[in-house]
Amino acid sequence: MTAPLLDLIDTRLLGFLPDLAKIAVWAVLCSIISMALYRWLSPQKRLAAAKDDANRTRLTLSRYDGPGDGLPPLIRASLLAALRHMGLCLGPALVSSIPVIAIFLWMNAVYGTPARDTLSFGPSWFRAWYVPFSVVMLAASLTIKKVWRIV
Amino acid sequence: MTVFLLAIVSLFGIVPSAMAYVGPGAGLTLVGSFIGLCLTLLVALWAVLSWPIRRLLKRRGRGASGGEKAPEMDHTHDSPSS
Repeated sequence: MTAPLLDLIDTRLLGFLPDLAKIAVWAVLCSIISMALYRWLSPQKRLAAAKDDANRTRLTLSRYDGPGDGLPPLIRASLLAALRHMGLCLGPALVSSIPVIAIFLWMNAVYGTPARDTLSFGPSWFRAWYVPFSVVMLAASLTIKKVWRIV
Repeated sequence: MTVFLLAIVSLFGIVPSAMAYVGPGAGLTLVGSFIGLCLTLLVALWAVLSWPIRRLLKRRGRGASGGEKAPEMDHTHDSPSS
């Protein structure tokens, strides 16, 4: 996969760094792009309300102690609230993953060769570039989610 | 909604395999909502299965604490003054 801009950044701007550090930088960049895009695309206020609603109905259902015919409406309301929450974040989450897939494919072409093991210890799967990439991206995304208060 | 469901079913029925990515990044929120849905299903299942037991325990508890008074309260509802 050819990506002149990504190649340029990788060689010119990050060229002085070791592979592991470069992968970490790309992972942080991916998480910033993905989370920013998600925040921009998703209806955050509606999502927050839907999440609260899903939590509240689930709590009501778990504490329900009344007659049996009161259970089905509660279950229905609880499932609908959970599905509504999931439905609201499905589209934006998938769309905001597209740039990450593009960078992921490019990185696999650049760093995915056996000659470019990022770690010098552990089993072969552990030495692959996507292990540190995933760990750093997960940590960065969780931090961004908390700092930007993304729902 | 029906059209949407039909589209989803037919798409999954026709396509032998699909490449997709949900992971660190914005996928976290989707994973979070999916966990919420699974949790709701578990709570619903638990509510249905445990309801007879909880009801029985509640009745027993009520009977042990003030079982004698319950019929009296019912009588007051039947009385002409109420």
